[in-house]
Amino acid sequence: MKRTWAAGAFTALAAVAGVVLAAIALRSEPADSTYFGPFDSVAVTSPARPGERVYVGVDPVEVKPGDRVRFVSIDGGPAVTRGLAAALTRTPGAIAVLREKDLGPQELDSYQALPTGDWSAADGPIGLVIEVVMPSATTTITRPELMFVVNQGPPQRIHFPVAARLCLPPPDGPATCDPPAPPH
Amino acid sequence: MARRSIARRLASASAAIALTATFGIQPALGKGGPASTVIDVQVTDSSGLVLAGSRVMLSVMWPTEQHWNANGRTHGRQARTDSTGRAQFRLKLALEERLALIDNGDWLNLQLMAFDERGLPAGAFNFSRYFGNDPRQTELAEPTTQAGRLIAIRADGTVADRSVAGARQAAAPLTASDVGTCYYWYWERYSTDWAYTRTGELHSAADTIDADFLYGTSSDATIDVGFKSGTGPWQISGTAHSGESITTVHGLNKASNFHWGVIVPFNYVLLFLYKDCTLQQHVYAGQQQVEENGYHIQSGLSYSIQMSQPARNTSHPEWALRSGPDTSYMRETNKFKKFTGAVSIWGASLGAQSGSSQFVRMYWRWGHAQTWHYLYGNGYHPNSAPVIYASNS
Repeated sequence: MKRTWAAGAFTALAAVAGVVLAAIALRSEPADSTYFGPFDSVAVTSPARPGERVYVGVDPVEVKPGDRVRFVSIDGGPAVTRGLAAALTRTPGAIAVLREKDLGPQELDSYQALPTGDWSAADGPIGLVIEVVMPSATTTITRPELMFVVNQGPPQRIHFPVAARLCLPPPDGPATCDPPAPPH
Repeated sequence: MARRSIARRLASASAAIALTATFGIQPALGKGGPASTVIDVQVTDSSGLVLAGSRVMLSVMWPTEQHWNANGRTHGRQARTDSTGRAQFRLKLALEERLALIDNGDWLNLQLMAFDERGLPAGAFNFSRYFGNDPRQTELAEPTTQAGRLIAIRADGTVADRSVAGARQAAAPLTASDVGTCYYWYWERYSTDWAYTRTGELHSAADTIDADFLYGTSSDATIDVGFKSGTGPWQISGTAHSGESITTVHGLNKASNFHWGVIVPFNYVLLFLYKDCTLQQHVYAGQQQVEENGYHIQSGLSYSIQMSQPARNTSHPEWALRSGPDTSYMRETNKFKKFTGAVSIWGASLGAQSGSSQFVRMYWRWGHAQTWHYLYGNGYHPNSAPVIYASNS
């Protein structure tokens, strides 16, 4: 009886401690950086076959005069394999959503994979793209997170209010790939 | 700022009084929505000198037909500016005002009116404030209404405009000796009507399956307010925001090669300004106002005026966005272009601007006859462009 009571007390204590720790973890989650932005909310869709690479663009960013910015990583979930960055003036235009087969000739050559080198204001608007490998079923990427560093300072992060839904083409997927709600 | 007697200055300025007002607003959120707020006002003349001792009135303007039916007239709060030209309205919203706020998507439409030393309206300014917590709406708030220019009101004592007021007033203009001292002013509805109002442009190129301008379950537009004093011309006295919720989504759905202006149906109300005086009640003051009065839910979106679009500037690839075959793109941020002369009603020509928000979306879905489908802005990335153009090259 005593052991049961002790076990119950321990479980309750652990549960309380878990809640407290979770609350602390939530509160200590750093806020998004305001270095770039504000950003615009968009949603895109594209068909894709399993294993196919799809490129989804997020809002362009610009480095402030005198600063050096390095893009470290981008996280959009397990389907996102890497992030890419390019000075948009050196591309055929920003990417909303393009499958690998629809990219321009050597288009990815204009891009640097993250982590990148330093960028400056002279680069103008910088297009950031996430590379997604289509899984076996419809997938939605929401609010990808970019980690970056300004003037070799501490890492900063932002979430882009972008959602991308990749659907299997008919007949395996829907006739129309309905867009997700643009996130904020 | 120097201080000067308002009486001396307004008396000398006669009909050409130009006033400005700056506003500060601090909503105090209560359970179930904002219950009270503080609006700080500072009134200065066109040279920046503060107007001390000026009587000012703040009125909540009803947002829809239903609220005019329920309330009949506006309820004004009055205050007097201090030696620095400042006045503070501690606005505790009455139940009917809170309902108006809720029914207008947490937007409150307000009018500030300043009076001269004779107690006659000298300037008016219409503005709106958002009291909700949705950041998508907060970003649509018009920063220019933080400081506004009150349009001058012809306050020459000839208060009657018989040509318009018709049977509502005496055959001859009323004068101060007829009515005595006037202590309370309010707007009453004279007429209502609806009109299509231009709020956007929709462009699509070839190989477009759907090109949509969607006005959703709420309207989201900021529309000029027209103000007329006596027989003078209509002037713009500021803006009002329409955020009325409806149950149906309206959209303009087109496919390929469409380049037209989008028009959205709104209700409008023609208001007359009345005053209660010591010798006579309900005296027409000679001023009229036209403002939006909600979303006209019976009529869907339509289009008028075929538009051209600038060619895509290939030397600015950063203004263009490419989408592949069978893809789609939707945007719901920022605002669209403000159109002057977006609507003409009762002789007033008003400008209008639509938000781009969770309530107003643009959406394109493309086919697979083309590899690249371009959306582009003229000097902007399409994600934030006031007008989004479309081409396939």
